[in-house]
Amino acid sequence: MPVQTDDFGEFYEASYRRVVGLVAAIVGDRQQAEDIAQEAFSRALTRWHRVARYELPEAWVRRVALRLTVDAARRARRARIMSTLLAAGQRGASSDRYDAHDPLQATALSVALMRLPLPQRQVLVLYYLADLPVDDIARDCGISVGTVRARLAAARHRLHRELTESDEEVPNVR
Amino acid sequence: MFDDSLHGQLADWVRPVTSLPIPDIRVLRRRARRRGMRRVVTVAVVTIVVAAVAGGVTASRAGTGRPAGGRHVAPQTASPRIVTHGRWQPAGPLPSAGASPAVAPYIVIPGYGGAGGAQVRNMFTGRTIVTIKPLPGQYVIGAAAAGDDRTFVLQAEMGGQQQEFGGGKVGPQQNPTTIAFDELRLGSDGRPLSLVTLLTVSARDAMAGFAISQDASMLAYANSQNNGFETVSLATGARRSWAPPDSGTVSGTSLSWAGDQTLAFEWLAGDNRHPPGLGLRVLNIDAPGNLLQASRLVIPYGQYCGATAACQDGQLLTPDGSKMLVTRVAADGQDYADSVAEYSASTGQRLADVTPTIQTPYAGPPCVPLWTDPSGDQVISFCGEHGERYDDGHLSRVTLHPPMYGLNFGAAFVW
Repeated sequence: MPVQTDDFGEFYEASYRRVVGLVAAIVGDRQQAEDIAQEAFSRALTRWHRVARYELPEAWVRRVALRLTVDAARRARRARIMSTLLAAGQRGASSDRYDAHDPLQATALSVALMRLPLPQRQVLVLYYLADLPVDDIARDCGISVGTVRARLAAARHRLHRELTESDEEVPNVR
Repeated sequence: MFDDSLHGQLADWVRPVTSLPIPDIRVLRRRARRRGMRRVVTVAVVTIVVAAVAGGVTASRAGTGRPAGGRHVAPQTASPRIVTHGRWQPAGPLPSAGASPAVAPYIVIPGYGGAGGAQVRNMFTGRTIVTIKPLPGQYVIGAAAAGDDRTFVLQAEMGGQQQEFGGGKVGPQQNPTTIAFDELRLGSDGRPLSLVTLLTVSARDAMAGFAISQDASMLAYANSQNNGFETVSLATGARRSWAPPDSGTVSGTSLSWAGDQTLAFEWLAGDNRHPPGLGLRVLNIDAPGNLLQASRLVIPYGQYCGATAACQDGQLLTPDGSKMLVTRVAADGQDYADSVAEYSASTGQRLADVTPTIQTPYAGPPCVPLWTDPSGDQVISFCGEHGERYDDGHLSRVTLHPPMYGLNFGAAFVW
């Protein structure tokens, strides 16, 4: 069936917010999340004649976005965000912003989330925010179902511990 | 309880992002064009503001932040579409056949720092040689290298506004009016000898994505008005516009020269659902006819980009035009198998893999060719997390210090 360019607009409208939301939860930065999501969708746009034929085009975009979050994590900017985010968390002021551009608000959850290793963070966000089953997460991340479960358990345990400690140390943080 | 609340907390946290208006689809198209995978067909009157620029060196010494000397460059308005500055000089000779990569240690990072200058580093040691301030009013967004490993061309935005931050102006320009192409020459120690503007074009015409020929005499830059590219002689100002037929699109960041007459590019589908001859093509810029008639398909798309993969351009044509170095992404079950492969530019035959094949769960290729000697007998690539050296059939690891590995690896620096 021929693929119309207009199809992409509908697909984009329907799926952009889901993708940008999960990317934001992984990278912890609004501007970077928008950048990554737009990059992933623009790659889909240039290959739409192929991507549209896939059973789940959004999964393709998600995979590309995940790859871009890995790339982004290697960049120096993330280190800066991390340090300021942690500082914001330590200050215990929920209204503190941790990046000068246009960030997400620092919360106890976001501080704890950003302390997770990226692979664990990806799995956790895909599971809890995107509500994906472990089979789909395994496909998106290119890892086994067992690895997904292991990472998820580790992330959940660590996050729970971080949040508990965070509550004790910085009770003002939301 | 913890699990139950996590979804809600995460959703609340990212709501400032998910509740924003969805960016106009034109933003994606612009990004695609910036990557060279351009597909929007716009018909507009071509208005080119040309500024011929007086030369001067404003390269700052490392750590001083002050110009090293020379005259500052001021844009001058002129009426022709493109005016070359007239200060062009040929680049130095290519490295000798079989030369060690050590003869070419310098990489240039465009858009370095908030001011948008450039930085020169030693690829093998990671040492910063010099940080170069942009010419007045410019923000450097791209770089390309000539064949002598000492001559580079910087692409810079002009005429736009920068964000105010901390009392200063930082970041790329918003709504630039002009794109400048500046020539940067380095000495044998990697320090700049000169930085002069060669030509300027309207920002509406030139998008990111360009290449300089081996002798630095010919410039090819992506043209956002026609989804193709322009070739311009920096010596004479003679130009030729290569508009893609058949609703195809040229990847601007795929442009790569051999000599000063042969140009490789990636030809993609654009809006054409049944495009002819997708893949890497080689163009003779002196040949008659349109882009497809004057070029020939060397490597079909499917040979280097497996199904479901998100391949990026960024191939290298060897300076002698005999071979093409291509990132190859093959789908392998749930994973992808990535490598850098060397193909014959005359027959399209796959000659060698110049990196080991790595398995990756991600659709995009993490392997890229970075440097080649004139014949492609020696190649330096980055694959996965390592530098890889190919020396006439032998593979070995090499310590490299590429900057900003990641999101825009191919555009992050030039070697």
